[in-house]
Formats: sequence, C-alpha cells, structure tokens
Amino acid sequence: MTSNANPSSAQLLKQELQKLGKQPVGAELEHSSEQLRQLYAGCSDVVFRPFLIGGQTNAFLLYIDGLSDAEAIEKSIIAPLMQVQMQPSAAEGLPKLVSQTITVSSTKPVTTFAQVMEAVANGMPVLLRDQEAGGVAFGLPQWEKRTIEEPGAESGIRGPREGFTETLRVNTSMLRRIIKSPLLKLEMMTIGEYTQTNVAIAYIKGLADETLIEETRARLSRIRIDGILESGNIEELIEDSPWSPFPQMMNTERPDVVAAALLEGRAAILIEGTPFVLVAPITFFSLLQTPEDYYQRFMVSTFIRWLRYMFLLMSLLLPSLYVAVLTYHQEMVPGSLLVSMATAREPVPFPALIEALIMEITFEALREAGIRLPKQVGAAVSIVGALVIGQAAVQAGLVSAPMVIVVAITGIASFMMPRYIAGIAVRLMRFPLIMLAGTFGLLGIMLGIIAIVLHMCSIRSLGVPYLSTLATFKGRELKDVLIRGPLWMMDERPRLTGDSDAIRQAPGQMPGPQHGGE
Amino acid sequence: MIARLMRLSLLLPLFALLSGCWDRIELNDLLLVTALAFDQEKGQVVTTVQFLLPRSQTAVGGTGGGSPAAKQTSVRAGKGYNVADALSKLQRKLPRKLFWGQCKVFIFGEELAKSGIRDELDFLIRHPQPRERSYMFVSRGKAADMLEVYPPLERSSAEVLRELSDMRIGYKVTLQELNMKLKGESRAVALPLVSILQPNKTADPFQTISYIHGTAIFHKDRKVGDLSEKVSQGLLWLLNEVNEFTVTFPIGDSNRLVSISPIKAKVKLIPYIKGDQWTMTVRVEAQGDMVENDSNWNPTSEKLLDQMDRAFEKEVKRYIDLAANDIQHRLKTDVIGFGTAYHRKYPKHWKQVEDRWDEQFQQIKVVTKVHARILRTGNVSNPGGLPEEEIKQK
Repeated sequence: MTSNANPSSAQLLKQELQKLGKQPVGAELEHSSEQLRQLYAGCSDVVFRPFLIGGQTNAFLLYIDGLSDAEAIEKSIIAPLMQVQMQPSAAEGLPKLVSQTITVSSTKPVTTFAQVMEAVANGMPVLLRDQEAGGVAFGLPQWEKRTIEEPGAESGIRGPREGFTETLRVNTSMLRRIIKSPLLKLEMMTIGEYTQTNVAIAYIKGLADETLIEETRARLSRIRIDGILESGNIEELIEDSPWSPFPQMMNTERPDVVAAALLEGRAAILIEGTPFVLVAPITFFSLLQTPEDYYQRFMVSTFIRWLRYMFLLMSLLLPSLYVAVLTYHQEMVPGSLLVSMATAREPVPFPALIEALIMEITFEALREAGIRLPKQVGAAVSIVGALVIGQAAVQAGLVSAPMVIVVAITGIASFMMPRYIAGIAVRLMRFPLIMLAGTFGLLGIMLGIIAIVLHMCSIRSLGVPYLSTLATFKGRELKDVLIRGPLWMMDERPRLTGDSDAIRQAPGQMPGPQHGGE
Repeated sequence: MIARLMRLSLLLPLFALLSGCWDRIELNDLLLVTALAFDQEKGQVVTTVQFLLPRSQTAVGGTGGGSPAAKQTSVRAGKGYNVADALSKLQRKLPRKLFWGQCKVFIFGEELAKSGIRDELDFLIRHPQPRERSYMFVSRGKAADMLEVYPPLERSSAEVLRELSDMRIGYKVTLQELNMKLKGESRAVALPLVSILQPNKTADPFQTISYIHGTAIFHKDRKVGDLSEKVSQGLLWLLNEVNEFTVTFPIGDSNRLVSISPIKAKVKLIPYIKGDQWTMTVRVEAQGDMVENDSNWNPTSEKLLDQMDRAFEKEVKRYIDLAANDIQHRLKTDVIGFGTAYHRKYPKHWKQVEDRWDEQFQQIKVVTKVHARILRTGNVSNPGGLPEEEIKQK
C-alpha cells in the first residue's frame, strides 16, 4: 500500500515502461524513433539502422547486435529494400512491400511498443517505415549456443546420447523430432519482469488431461517475479507442497525421458536458458526409474529396480539402524558380530550416535566439496577423504571401522538413486532418523519411518498423490513399479488424473514363433 | 500447519540432548557375558560369569605375535542368598554392566543340581535379558570350573559347548524346553552333562575345553542320577534326536565290525493299554551309509547286505533297550516322554495314574521294533585292501 502512495524509482520506471508498451507505434517515424532511442538509451548492443527504402521513404531497422543474423539482415532486408523500384503506397502498407521484396522466411507484424520490444529481445529485427503505423519483425534470430551434448548428470549405457541445451528452440525441436504428431503442443509464455524468459508447456493433446494442462498454465501465469534463471526457480513457485523435502517434479536433461513422460500423459515445462526440463505430475516411483529401465531387457531392469529399492532403504536406514542396535538392542546382533563390533569400538571415545553424526556429516561435506571443486582438484578431495575418514580416523581410534563401512555403504546407496534430487531428499531424512535412533532406538526409527510415510502419502504432484499406485492402490499399475513388466504387457498408460486415453498399444503383442512367418 | 511443522522441527535437535536418558547404553559399557555358572557353597549360591575381553582380540589380530590361544575371556564370581543377590554382588566387582543378551550357555553345578534348580530357573525365565533359546548344561563337579578353561579353538569354553550342542552329538536342551519339560506330564528332564577334557600334554594346564559327556537326569527340579555316554546315545534314539550318529556293530561269526554313518532315523512312541498291561512300542526306522567295513563281506551281495541290515537293527535295538531299561528301572524317571504319549492317546487312563506316574512308568513294557537299512556302500563296493579270492561274495 505504501509503495503505491510513494512509488520507488524502479516502480516508476516499470509503470512508464508498461504505459509505453501499450501505445501503438505511430505513423510519424521521427517521433517513434525518438521514443525507441530513449527507451534503449544506454543499451550499447541495440543497433538503429536508418535507411531509405528505394531511395525515397525514411525507414529504420532495429535489432540487438549478437542476437540477430547481421549478414542475413544485410542481404535479405536492407539490400532489397534499398534497391526496390516500385514502392507500394502507404495505403497498401508494409505487408505488401515485405511480401514483394523481402526474402526472409518468417515475418510478423508489430503494432505496439511492447511487441517491438519483445521481438527485438528475441533476436527479431524490427522494420519501421515513415508514414505508416506499426512495423514488421523478421525471424532472423541467431546467437551463440552450446552444441548438443551428452547430458552429464544422466549418463547411461543404452539409449540416446543427446541432451537438452540452454536454447529453448533447440530443445523444442528435439522434442518435435521424437514426437512428430501435430498433437504435440508447445504453448509459449513469458515469465519474469526483467528476464522475460520464454517458457513452453509441452503436452500431447488427448493424452494429457485437459484440467492438468489448465492447472499448469494457471500456476505458471500466477508467477510474478523479476527473473527465472533455471527450472528450479519455476519448480519452487508452482509445486504442491513447498514445505516438503521431496521433489514433486522431475527434472531431466534427456529428450527421451520427456518424450516418454509426454506419452504417458504428463506435461513438461521447458525453460529458456536451462537444459533442465520439468516433468509433472510424477510419483515417487518415477524418481526411482531410469530411462534405461525401458531400453534393457525387462528381467535385468526388474532386478536393477529391486536393487535400487533395497539400497534406497539402506541409504535411509542403515546408519540409524546401526546406531539403534548398538546402543539399545545389542542382543539382536549375532554374537560373533557383536564381539568384533565391540572390539572395534573399544578405543572410540564417542557414543555411537555422535560417531555416526560425525561420519555422516563428514561424508556429506566431502561429497559437496567434490561437486564444487574443479575436476582437477576433485581427485585430491577423494584421496584426502578416503585416507582421512577411512584409514587414519580408524587407526587413530576416533571412529570405528564398522561405522566407516556403514557410512560408505550408505553413501554408495544414496548415489544409486537415478535422480539426484530424490537421492538428496533421502539423504536429508537420514539425519533426523539417526537422531531418533540414538534417542529411542528402533522405536524411534519406526516413528520416523511412520512420519516419513505419512508425509509422503499426504503430498501431491500437480494433484497426483505422491505414492500413487501404492497409496491409492492401483493394482494394474504395479507392473511398472514393483517390476518392470515386459513392454508387450504394458498395454495401458498409467492413470494420472481423470480419465484419459487408457490404451497405449494393441494388446497381445508378445512375440513368438506363432506370430511370425506364414 | 506449516508454522507448526517448523516449530516441531525446532524440537528435533533436542533429541540429541535426550539421548543420555532412557535406557541407552553404549557397547563399550557392556560386559558381554558368554556363560553363567551356578554353584552351591554353604547354602549360598555362587554365580560365576564368563565374559569376553574385547581388547585382547585386537592384540592377536594386530601383530600376530601373540600366543595362538590367548585368553579371550575371563571369569568372575559373586556369592549371595539367591541368584539375583549373588549377581548384584558380582556387579559390584565389575566396571561394566552385565549383559545377558548374548549369553547362550548356563551351567548348573553338580551339588546345586542335586539340591534343586528351581530358584535359578525362575530367575532365568523371569529376567527379560537372558535368551529363551540359550543352552542348559549340568557339570560334573563345580560349574565354575567349566568356565575357567580357555579353549585352543573358539573364543570361549562356552562357545565350544554351544557348538558341540549344535552338532547334535550330545543332547541339547534350551532354557525354554527345560522350563516346559519341568512343567510337563512327567516333570522330568535330561540335561547334557559336561566335564573338563584332560588337556594335551604340551598344552597349558587350563588350555582345554569342557565337553558333553553323558546325561544328567532330573526329577522335578533335582538331579537324581547320570547316564553314561553309551546309555545317553540310547536316550537320544528314544527322544528321536538321532543325527550325525555313527553306529558300529559286529557281523557274522568273525565278529568283524561295520560302521554306518550318518544315521537318519525316525522314532515313534506308540503307547498301548490292554487291561492292566501298559505297553510302549518304540518303532524305529533307521538308515545310513556304510563308512567302514572291516569284514570280508561284499555288501553288494543282496544276501549279505540283508544280514548286515539285521545286524544293524540288532545294534540299534540294543542301544534303545539299554537306555530304556536303565532309565526305567535304575533312575525311575520318565525323561523320555512316555507320560506325554499316554496322556495324548489315553487321557482317561492318564487321569488315573497321573499322581503315581513314577510307579506306573516302571511297569510299562517297552517293545522295540527296529527297521534299519544300509543305503549306500560308499565309494567302493568290495571290502578295501582285500584280494578278490578272500572276499565273501555270498
């Protein structure tokens, strides 16, 4: 309220910009060029190029250096316009002129200053002509972009190698290359007061529930923010349960993952400037799946999936179980194992709880250091880590060898989560569980697990229950959760919300000799 | 709801401070008891615990220079009016808390066994820590002596006893079973009897083990007698606990020996009452592989094998009859479980004899019916090391 009564200069500027944006570009070139020059005052990268069309009419071209293809502008816009002989009258207007002389493939009329600004910012040069209201924007964007590379965070053995880049257009083109049907829709919107980031909602019409897309659209358009720098910004602003440690959207760098999600009726949000695409709605189990699960033989995938579930539990529970058993339930350990643990613990000065916390925190620190450091130094960290927390600490009697083993296994287990965000959420849960284990023993762990499961049951991803298929039990969909069913058995799509087209393939496609030949 | 969650999460660090409370106990503060022995001394009970020394093991593993059988256990004793009293006095002499969760061996001394083990048993089943599946033994002589030795193999003499029991060469009774049997129909139980093995000539005087050597028979909670090792084997047959046995018996007129091992046997007690005559049929199905044949008989000959089978049967029957006779007429205590068998089949008759079961038990006629078979003859069929002519083929 106070800001309205006494607006700051930034707000004044914003208001002014908005006011200008709504104005149409007038017929008087002098005036509008003056307005634009004022607008872009201080922007050294904005180029104003006045010239005469056919040697008679004043015109000028406005673009941002580095965002548009200067060579093409010269060849396909300025040169033909300057050499044009017959000029259509002002009444017939620019469109006629453009259609006669300009060889640029994509053009778009602009009428207001807002449209001009948008076009220019997206690398489209804008042409304004004297005596005529409005102008034309040409689709000649060209800027430096990263080449398509293999995604670093999601490597695999089998499957496509290409990953998304920072350029939205490239990313959408990659999706379109996979899903060629015109039913793949890519809705555009811009988010961010200053960054004006382009965001695309991708979905397949008919497969994705209409209400789902509407909800996504509504949530995105509610965002009022200075800038969007990464998909994480958007994720935080549109997720269902912001107070949860669990990610409610999946991010991926791989077009095949997004395509698979779209084919299951999910929506994807592509954001300019980041290779990470958001996928929603998801369930917790989709965070435990890799695209490779579907490219390998199903038995292998099922085995690996179970391995993953096992190690998920391990990464969550192993240290706390160790602490609980060692401090409360010594009778549960087989005798000889207890003796060797007792022997190893004999010189350790700390209680098991403190020992576990020290080791876990050290491990987390090493992991974080390993990520942030340059690659050349990263190796040093792991050497120091292995020597210091492994060998030396045990020999010095600061920690016991079994604890080092427990922490190491836990670490490996948490790296087995195919999605980094899921792994880190589980890692975070580990600490309260260790505390509970050190306070109430197995009872505490049980309480902790109950709390976690309750929480997971209560959260949703874009309206879909997080533990869907298990909590809101869907027996038919277990074939893609407990196991990875053979492709020829998975005839139905997972049901997310509402009733969508359930059948995804013809039934009875199990291959065999009776299907071939003849 | 969110604010409440936040406030709740602020409480979480307090758990760390709480961890000193409740019944948390660090492994370093526990005394890992491996065995407990009960003895009687001038009307008081002496409890002796054997516990592990966690530190000495690192020394052995670390340098490798230590003696191969360094002592890994130690013992300490406490005396009191009853077990709890004695243990509380013992605890005063120990810097760490007695922990019974890993104690799997309890030994009653001879003298105490004779005067009754009920008090001790009550403590063991009442206390939450001792395991119901721990093994019970009776010692020849003082029970504490069984714990004083340290074995060349295994960590402790208690572990040796446990391993020996697990091999089922001797009889194995758990705390739970002991309690159930003493409460059961015949109110009698057989416990393995342990004594100390004479140490090797070259070994240190205490570097030996205690081992299972016979059976102690309890009537009510008192020890009434022992079974020799041979009779104990017969008892195992009667109890259907035959496993990993080797039976050796003579065949033919030459009385050369044949050994069968391992024996697999099924023993069924079939009670029968006709008029005043109570009969117990012990039906045995036994089979095993030939491991030694000292005779010159060729076991692949059907006729000879059949004779061997008969000899095998005879030997088994001899074992069983010996044990049944000894238990029935010398000890007069039903540790075999005849009472249970009769109770199940003849509940009405049982009611009549319940009060005087011990007398009735002696009247029962035991009929042993054995069907034994040699299954395989081992790697060779002919007797080893004999020229062809000397082998008896028929």
